[in-house]
Amino acid sequence: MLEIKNLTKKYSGKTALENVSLSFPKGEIVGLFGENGAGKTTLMKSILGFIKYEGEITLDGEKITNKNISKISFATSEHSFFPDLNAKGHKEFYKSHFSSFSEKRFDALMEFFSLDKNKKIRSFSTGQKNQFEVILALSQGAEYILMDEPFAGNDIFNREDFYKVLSGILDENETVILSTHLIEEVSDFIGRAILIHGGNIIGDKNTLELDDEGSNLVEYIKATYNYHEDRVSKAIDILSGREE
Amino acid sequence: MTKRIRKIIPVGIKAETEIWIFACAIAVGLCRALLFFQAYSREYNRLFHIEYGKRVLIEGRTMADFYVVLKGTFNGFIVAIFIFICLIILHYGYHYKDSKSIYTMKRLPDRYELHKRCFTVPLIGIVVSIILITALLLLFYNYYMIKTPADCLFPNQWERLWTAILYGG
Repeated sequence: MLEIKNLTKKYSGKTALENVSLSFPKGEIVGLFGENGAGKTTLMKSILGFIKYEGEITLDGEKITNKNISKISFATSEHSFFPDLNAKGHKEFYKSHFSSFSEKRFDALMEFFSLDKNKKIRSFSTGQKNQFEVILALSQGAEYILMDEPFAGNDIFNREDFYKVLSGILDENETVILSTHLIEEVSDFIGRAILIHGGNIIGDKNTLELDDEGSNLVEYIKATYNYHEDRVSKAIDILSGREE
Repeated sequence: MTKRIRKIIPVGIKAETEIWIFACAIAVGLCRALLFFQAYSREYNRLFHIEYGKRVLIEGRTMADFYVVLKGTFNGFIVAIFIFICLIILHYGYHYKDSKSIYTMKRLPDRYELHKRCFTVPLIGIVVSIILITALLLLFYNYYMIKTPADCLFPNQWERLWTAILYGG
């Protein structure tokens, strides 16, 4: 279980996360939604220990240190691979550092996406780079897979393929925490939605609960964000001078 | 050898590139240091004049102090050490270039892996430079003491060297 208690992060006085408390049991696929600057990336970076924070983050009851960090993997749109290394080199590097690295999954995903193992990652297209980034995160053998906007730059076909593969290959112990703006696309794929706004958790709902309520993810997010359906038409009316 | 070097340099950097930088930095230090012999010969030749085609010691002429002859000899190694310090910065910077591979390095179970890959080669370079400076200093000192005619030597050259280093020549 990944537990976050009273997490607060401030950047030079400005609050990025405020008193956030969350827990992630094993085997969940969680969508993390929020506007740009809402605090999604800060939350992930705090979990990984990349930034200092106030509060407590534990993994299976222990603080996250080098001893248990390999239980968490990370895929980011900023990319964390080595551009001048080819896929084979990455495989060797990951194998030597992560004892539970899944060579089988790595090879299968590389083949599925038809990525060249001998080409430097630098020479891949943006979409291929994203695919490779996610392949590494999924093959590390981690229990918690954090993904921060992993599909930025991928076309719809790529992304859909990916959701299908992801749903098919995950073990019951693997948890995916996926930060994305592509709400509609991931709605059938995630089991829980967490909404962040201005550094605060404003919603946390299981998708089964939404089904029971006869609602869906998009409606839930719009309602939680207090989204007004008529705001676009109103704006057009004002701009075009139609409103008196 | 390149396989071994690849384990102590940032992931993706060519071992050949690191070897080349290392060799160039040390070569700069060595080449400049070897100019000591040129400086020595210039001072040494001032002790003599030619009489009937023969080199004869000029009476009362003294050899320039060792520290004077040595001046600037190790500047090349200072440049080399500066290059190695820059290399540490470049190694860290490499992990932010074209991707954030720093995230992967910071997530490794071996918490020293990043620093090992950024520091090892430059530190070896700095240590080799210091060892070479020490060895060459001893070599040059002995050369100076043996080759210079005893009558032309000021006493306490070693002490004079350290006085010059510590308090300025």
